[in-house]
Amino acid sequence: MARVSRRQFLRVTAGGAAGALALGRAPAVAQTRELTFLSIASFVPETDKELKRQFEEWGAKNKVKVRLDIIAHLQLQTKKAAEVQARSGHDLTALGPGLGDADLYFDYLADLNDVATDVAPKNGGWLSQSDYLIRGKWKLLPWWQPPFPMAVRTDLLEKLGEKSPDTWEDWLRVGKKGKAMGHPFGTAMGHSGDANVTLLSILWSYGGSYVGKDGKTITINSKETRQAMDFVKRLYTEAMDPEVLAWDDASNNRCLNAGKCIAIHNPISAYESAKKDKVVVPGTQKEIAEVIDHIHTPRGPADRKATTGFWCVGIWNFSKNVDLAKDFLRYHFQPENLNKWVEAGHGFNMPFLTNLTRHPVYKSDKQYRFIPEVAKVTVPPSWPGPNTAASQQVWDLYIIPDMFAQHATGKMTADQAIAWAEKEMQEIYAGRKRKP
Amino acid sequence: MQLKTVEGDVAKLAARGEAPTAGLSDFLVRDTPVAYAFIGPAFFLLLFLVAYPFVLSLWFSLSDARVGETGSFVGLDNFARLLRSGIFLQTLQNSIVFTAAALTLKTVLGMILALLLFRLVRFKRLIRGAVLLPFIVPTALSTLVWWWMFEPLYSVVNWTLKSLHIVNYDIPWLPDPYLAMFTVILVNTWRGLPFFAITLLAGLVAIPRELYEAAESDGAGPIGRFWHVTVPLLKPVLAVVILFSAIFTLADFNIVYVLTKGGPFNMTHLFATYSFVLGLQSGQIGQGAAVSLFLFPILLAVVFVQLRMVRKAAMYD
Amino acid sequence: MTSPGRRIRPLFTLYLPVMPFVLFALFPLYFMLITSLKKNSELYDVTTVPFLIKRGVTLGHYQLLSQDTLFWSWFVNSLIVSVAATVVSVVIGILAAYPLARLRFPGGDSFGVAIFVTYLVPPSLLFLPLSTVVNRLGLSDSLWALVVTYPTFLVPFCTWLLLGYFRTVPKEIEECAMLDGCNRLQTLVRILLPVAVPGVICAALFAFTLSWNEFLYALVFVSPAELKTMTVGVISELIRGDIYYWGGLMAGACVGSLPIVIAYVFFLDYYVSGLTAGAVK
Repeated sequence: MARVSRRQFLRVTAGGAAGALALGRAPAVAQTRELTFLSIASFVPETDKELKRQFEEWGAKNKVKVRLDIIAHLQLQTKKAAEVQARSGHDLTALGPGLGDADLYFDYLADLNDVATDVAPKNGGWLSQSDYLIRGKWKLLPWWQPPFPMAVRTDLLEKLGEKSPDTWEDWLRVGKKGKAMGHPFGTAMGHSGDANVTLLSILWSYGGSYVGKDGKTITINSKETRQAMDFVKRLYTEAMDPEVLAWDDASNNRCLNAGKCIAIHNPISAYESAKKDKVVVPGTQKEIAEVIDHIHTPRGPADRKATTGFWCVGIWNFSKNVDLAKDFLRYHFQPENLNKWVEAGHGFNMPFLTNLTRHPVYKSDKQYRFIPEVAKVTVPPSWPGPNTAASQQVWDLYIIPDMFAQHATGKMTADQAIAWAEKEMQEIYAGRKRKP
Repeated sequence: MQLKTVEGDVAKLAARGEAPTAGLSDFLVRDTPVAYAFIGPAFFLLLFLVAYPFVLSLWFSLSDARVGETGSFVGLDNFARLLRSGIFLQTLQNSIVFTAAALTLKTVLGMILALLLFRLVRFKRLIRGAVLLPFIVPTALSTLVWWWMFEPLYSVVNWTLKSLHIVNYDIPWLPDPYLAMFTVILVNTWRGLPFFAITLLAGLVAIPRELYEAAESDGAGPIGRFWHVTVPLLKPVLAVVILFSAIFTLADFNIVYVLTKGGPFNMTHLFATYSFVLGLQSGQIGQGAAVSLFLFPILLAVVFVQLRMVRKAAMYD
Repeated sequence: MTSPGRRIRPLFTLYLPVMPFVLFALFPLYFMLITSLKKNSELYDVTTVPFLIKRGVTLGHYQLLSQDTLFWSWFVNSLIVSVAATVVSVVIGILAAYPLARLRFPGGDSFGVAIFVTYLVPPSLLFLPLSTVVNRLGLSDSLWALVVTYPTFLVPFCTWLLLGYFRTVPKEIEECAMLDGCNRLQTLVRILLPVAVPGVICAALFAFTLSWNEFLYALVFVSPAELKTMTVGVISELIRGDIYYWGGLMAGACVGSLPIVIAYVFFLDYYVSGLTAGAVK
């Protein structure tokens, strides 16, 4: 089976010259097979450790040398682009956030139809299979998502006499009262992934959307969008501080853990880190993790919908080890391995497989009880349109957050902001038309 | 230009009558094979690792290339599309404001700092070393500390201002578009100032003392000496430093990427960050390359003109 | 003997005005240092005084760095790459600067300008085509990739700086040496270089700083954890999605700045005098 790949050959040749100085790696030994995997630093570090353990275990069983490389998620884009450009790099790669990579790198990803059909039945089937197929094919496996519940300070809610707020309007009311006593509501509205998630959730909850099912028609210009925008304007001016315009993905976590925010729309990572760092409520000895609870993502007049980062995994088709890589994916997607992996991640990394959403970890802590519920209403960010490179670009350019923020801050009227977003989106979608 | 310098030297040598004949000296500067052999390594390095990728980038900007594909020729279509995009026009404006403001700040403050450093006697090394530090700490990490200092919730800057009762509310350094631009300019200045100060200091050291003494005996005060001796003699250094810094400031990526990601409302996007979003995140290399190269023709012209001027100035010293 | 008035005056006209500059330069670095020494519970408590450490100094962040990550390997990698790239660039720079400063040959002027123009090429763009080249050379995932690519942005600067420096050295001594039978290379090494030491040190220091700080190429061309450079390693491992390990990041920045700070402490005077001659001419 062992083949000397061109890459290995070149490396050996180059290594000969380099060998004396032993800079970098020793010349690769051509006889051993090596499988490499590029992944992102997980938000819960134990997840990476468990993945590494499984990867090595599989490697030992199959006599394959394995290497798991971890990078910060912000750097993944650069790395993917460089590997595709060079047609060389890792065998397996994390993809995302979002399924857009499958469209963007369609020609460079190996088909995973066989793996996807193999692993589904053992795990109770995919949550929403049609969402993950890109141009009718499995180009990646959706891997994990961090569902976005509402993280809330129960002690403050009690003080305000509020009981289980459920709609976005409820949260506006709570936030308004909270802000009056120095505990505003917090949701990012700047250039960050969280801003995309929450503002899209609000847009859908009010019945709006930005692209039609056909993946072509821009549907942002609607009365539902206007309603959503007016709501966000009120939320911004009455219930939040202007700082949300500059928030990155980490800011709302800090706002909650510092004891300032009454509630944030965020995965459980804030709670997890508060628990680990033993952060206390300012001015008391009480641990803040004890007064945090997570409840359902809010409902709007039209719907209850949310989205999140869809993290995926794929295999480059220029890899010399496509079959080996598939074999590892099958191994990792075995129920017992996925179970251990979800356990290690405290449920933060929820797979897109039905059985895993019922993982015992979600019953282990009262905090997690709504996570599976949120997952049920979670849709891809381009909903109801398909995931495409264009929808990914709408996400990457933060068109949705900017549209909302420009209206909320009074920089533009609702109509101006919508017209602006509509034009940008039309340009993006038009520029993305595939040549016949 | 080279020629003139050489002739000048030959004339000098001949006049002093201590050098070999002009013919031999002329022979000594004509050694083409050696010249090429010496330049060879640099030439091939730049050819393969800069020129080739650069030509490819030029091609990208004129094609509909995506990541991994060479694409086909589309002329100036990418540039035309950029000019239709509101975000790009905003980026263009931001880049000009950012570069102009940061350069002005760095030049003025750098000059003041260089003049001060020049006169130091005690703690000279210590203070020179201290002001040089921002330039040498890894940018990828030092930008993070700035972000931590301006981060809305924990901002030490706001904490200080509030504690001193200068303001009684949190200043929205990063949420407000104009303050955000101010902040990224400030951080760029922090990082670039040492380069200006130290290089200008080097220029000051090189100015002969006698010129100041002569100006003083002509009755020039400190300000007069500054304008009539220091500034004219520093001009060549200033020109090069500003040119260098203009190029690097215009290509700045890290500060904006860490502090604002181009927000709020794209009001701080620069060429590099916008090109990153278009070219890498969205995979439209053609578009991204067009953003990066948008100012290239103008810069090229500026470099040519300025280099010519600098050389002339250096020649007539 | 100077009068007290003369001794005090510089205090107001010189040392007082220079203070704001020093503060501006140092405060962020001071903040970096104390952040790296604070306990998390104090770091994330909004009610504390941000620039003091009240609840005790901790070395926990440094421990995290050296025990839970491969920090010291990254540190050594950075050192190897920076030193190697610096040596390569300075040597190539010296070789290229010499004929540009001393010889007349067809294409000399154009090459001088071309060297400067390379700076106009934005690195954020160049790295994609460059990654193809690096891969074809078989250098991906080895430190060689960086030793080979860093000179692309170091050589132009070194050449430019040394070119200026060489021009300030009188050429008579070289001419004498050549009449005595030395060849070009011998003249360059034995006669010119010893006089040009400040210029060479200045170029080397600059090259070392730029290599040490480089991020993009190091990220793109090298993946294995044990081969990462310091900045890439620290950022990869200590920024985890929406959680930043502030203490650890700042500890990395502090330790990571040390080698350059030490280099500058030793060579600061050379740096200034090297620039004096090199950049000015």
